[in-house]
Amino acid sequence: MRYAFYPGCTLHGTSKEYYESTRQVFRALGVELEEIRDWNCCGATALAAASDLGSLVVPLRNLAIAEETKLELAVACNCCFMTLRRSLEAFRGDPARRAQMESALAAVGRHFAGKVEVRHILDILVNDVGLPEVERLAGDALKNYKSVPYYGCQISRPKNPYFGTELPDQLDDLLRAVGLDVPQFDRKTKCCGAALMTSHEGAALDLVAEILDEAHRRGADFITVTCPMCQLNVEAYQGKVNARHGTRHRIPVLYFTQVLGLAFDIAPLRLGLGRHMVSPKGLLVRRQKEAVQ
Amino acid sequence: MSARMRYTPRRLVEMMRAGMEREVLASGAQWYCATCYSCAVRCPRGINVTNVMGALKRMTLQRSGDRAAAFYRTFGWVTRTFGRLQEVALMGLYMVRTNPFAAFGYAPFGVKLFLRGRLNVLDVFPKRSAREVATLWRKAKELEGAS
Repeated sequence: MRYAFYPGCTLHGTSKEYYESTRQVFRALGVELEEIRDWNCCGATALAAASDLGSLVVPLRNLAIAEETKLELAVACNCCFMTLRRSLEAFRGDPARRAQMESALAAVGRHFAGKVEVRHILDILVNDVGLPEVERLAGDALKNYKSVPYYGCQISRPKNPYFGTELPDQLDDLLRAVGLDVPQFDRKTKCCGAALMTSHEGAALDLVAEILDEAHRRGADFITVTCPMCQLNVEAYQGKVNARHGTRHRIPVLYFTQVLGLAFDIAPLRLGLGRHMVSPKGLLVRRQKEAVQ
Repeated sequence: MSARMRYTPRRLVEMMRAGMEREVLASGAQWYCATCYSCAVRCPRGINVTNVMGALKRMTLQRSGDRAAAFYRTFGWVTRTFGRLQEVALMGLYMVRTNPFAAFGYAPFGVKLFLRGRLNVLDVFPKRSAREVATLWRKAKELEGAS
């Protein structure tokens, strides 16, 4: 199995641990990820606030580059996933828009035929690789742990063919496949506040507080996420949430690829587990002790 | 986030229908939209309300004093200049443009990220893609102006 790979900017920056663990886990599963050459920022949700057409053609350049590989495009970040899909759908669905997009792309000497599929790596793991293969590689390292699956918004919205818009279940299934106890989690696709954490901190902190409160109520040992923005907001602002709401949250927030890596018995540091603001060390120590007993 | 908006989306739409353009734009409600698309998938009439909020953002982006507007303007500039998002440049410029003193508040946070190897402070040069991104953007604005 082979895919073109668009990591997105944060995977080379503030979420290196997502990049590292993705590489490790896909290698363990024998799936090749070929990073596309000279890719650019997808523009996230910021560009659409300046120019609608601009916000469609900037990600389109990546699709054009990916198309040259003739492979499906694997994307790790929820926001990139949404932005690239939004561009692709506008290109395929609206002939007038398509003409404009082609004309802009021609200005940089590129061409796109609309023949690439944009896939989230979670969907690839569950549906292409398959849960039986994941189960086969997983030891029972995570057997006595409980985690809530937090998908975030843009993996499932706006509507796409891969994930349910409000209560998707792929991540639940994947976590169960590696032996985790996965309770019901009502806020699995509630917004974390995204970029508003920078501009309207109070509002975003209140959203994160809700997510942390429910995770705590469900007795989760850690929260599992699929998106760099969610990871940073839910992990790094726990101190501020506590100060604002009088809570005492201190719960690790791991990428699902890190969780898989732990189940596959890959060394924690190779999965970037040393890079967290809320250290998962306590979890790892408990895991080791249980292994010894 | 709609709970934070001075007027919630349904009310905004009614106000637009009543021709209250100035009140809608001045309310700043659009800047509380975090683009989670919850409204878009729940609307029983299939209206993509998130795109409506996007249109309101575009109508006010350049002149709005809202911090979210400043953040999006900076994000756009960094993307077009570097080709990729340079997180250090984004936060630095954003703070210079809004409140330079906020840098003191963010400093411990930045140091923590840096110590964990999550901050690329030396990654200061534009990527090869930067020129193409800038051209694409210019061309898109041109085409939008023409239509």
